[in-house]
Amino acid sequence: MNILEVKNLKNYFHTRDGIVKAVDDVSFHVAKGETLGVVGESGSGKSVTHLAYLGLLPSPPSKIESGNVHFQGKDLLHMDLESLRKLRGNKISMIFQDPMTSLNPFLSIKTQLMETILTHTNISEQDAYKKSVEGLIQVGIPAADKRIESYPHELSGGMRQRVMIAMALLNNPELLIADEPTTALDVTIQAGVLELIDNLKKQKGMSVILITHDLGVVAGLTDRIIVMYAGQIKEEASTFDIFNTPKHPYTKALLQSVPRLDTTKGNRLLSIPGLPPDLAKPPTGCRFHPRCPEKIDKCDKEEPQLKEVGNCKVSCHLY
Amino acid sequence: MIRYILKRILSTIPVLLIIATITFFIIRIVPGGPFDSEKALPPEILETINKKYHFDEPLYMQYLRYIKDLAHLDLGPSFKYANRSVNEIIMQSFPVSFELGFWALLFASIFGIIAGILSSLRHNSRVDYFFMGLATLGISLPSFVLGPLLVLIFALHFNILPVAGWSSIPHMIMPVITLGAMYTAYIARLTRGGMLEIVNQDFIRTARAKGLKERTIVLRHTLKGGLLPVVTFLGPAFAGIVTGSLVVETIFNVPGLGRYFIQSALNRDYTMVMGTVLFYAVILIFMNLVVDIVYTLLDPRVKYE
Repeated sequence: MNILEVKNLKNYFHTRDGIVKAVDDVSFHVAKGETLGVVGESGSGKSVTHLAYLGLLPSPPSKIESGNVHFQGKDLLHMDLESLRKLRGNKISMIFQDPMTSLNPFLSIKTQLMETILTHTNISEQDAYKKSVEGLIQVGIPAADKRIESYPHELSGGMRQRVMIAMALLNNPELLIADEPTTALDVTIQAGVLELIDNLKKQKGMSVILITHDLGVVAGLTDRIIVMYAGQIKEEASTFDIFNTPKHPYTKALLQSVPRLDTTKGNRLLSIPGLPPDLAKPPTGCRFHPRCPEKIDKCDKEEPQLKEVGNCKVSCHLY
Repeated sequence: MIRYILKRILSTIPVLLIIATITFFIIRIVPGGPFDSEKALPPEILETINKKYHFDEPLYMQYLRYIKDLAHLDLGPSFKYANRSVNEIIMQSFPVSFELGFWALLFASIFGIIAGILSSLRHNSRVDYFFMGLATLGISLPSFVLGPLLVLIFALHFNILPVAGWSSIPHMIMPVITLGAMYTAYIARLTRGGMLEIVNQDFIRTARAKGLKERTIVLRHTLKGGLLPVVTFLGPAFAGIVTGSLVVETIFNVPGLGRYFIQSALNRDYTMVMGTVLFYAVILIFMNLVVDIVYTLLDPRVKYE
């Protein structure tokens, strides 16, 4: 059963320099209990897609142009704002990239945790406090009953991200969207945080969307991966297939730009030449063609569609 | 914290000493003296006066004498208002200016903050343009225009408020509005700017993602940080406004401290100049301390050792 279904979602930004097609005809789904990886460079639309249907983008300039988004059968795009608010932080939670700026520096951890519970459930303050402390214990924060009194600036980056995770899980969400949860953290702490998310996911049986630009992060955690480029999905496949038989030239290039321990000495780490396109004026045809090493004639003329190739879906003229 | 406050209070002594010294010599450099008038006084009278006020002593002696009195919180006699000490004049007029300034700033804070919040919530909408237009008007309209305009409308045309004076609440309404208008405008702009700054922060997105109600996001998550610029402004503004305004006090004939600031300088009333300057300095320093303490209440990252 699919907990989330997104069909042909288009979200544009109406700016002075023109219309920026940040999310352009994106479709995907998340099954119950599944972890979906969303991979792409900065500006590929991997975060904006999710912020859009949750109503977390400032409008204007952002506007959902068309599409359908169903969460547990409920239509998110045509729901009134109050019902959508009641889903956020309750059934659908988010963890953001930078724990340094994602927690309110003016409020104590206690306030920020307790309000998350109290907005969505009718329980006493004492019970909300107890649940908050339990939440902190669950994410491995030592001396949780003391730490809960601290302010964000008194905690380290790793601790703050644990607080963010605890906060996201307080209301036992059905879907957790983790937007680059480890990007701002030290490498030594990254593994611990990822493992924590994975363990909690298994414990609670929730679904997870893991957004990242780092393929190394998703490798061990996700069931399925979608690769996004310039606001579109370029490839969708199981994690195994993405790593072993990548189809889209962009996916291949991304994989080659991940540092590995098992490469032979002397092999240089590849980087993808060029820059992601300006989405106000995207390239004609396939948006990746100016940077593509396997470009053929029709790539700059005809826009490829996402089609099934074996077990995968690819949007490329080579298939 | 208490140690910090004590340290700050003690550190005001050298600051005040420096201000006293600079003011003392600057006002003496200015040509003319307190007893110069169109018609020259007879030399024997001048001599008596000079002797009485120790003007016959060398300047450094006069300075030391002044500092010695100052250490006893005695600001000396006024040179212009015979038989009245500077302490007396300040004690008599300051409460009036304080009352006027207090109400004006309270009025300004309430309306300025509300207008600023509404503007920031409806950023770039008609509400925003309306309040910010009004604020620009408030900043650019001088009180010597606004005051007489109010008098014309409410006192002379509609006859519902007294023209001038300072004896009852109706007397206070127009001076408070005239004095507070510019401050209201500043506070509205600062609140709007502060709120917009915070609204675009990541943690506000987090608050939305948590499903908090819009009211909670504004009142709990945005306001504390958004008001920091206003607090910074309010400290010096309070010091300035409670020590009186020449224009407003003159228009409405309010017996406040404001006019002494200007008149004493014009009169070369040396002790009165020193008195008003030092009095203002003390209040300003005190208010800056209050602002710094309020910071610690608003922003937990601010700590003083």
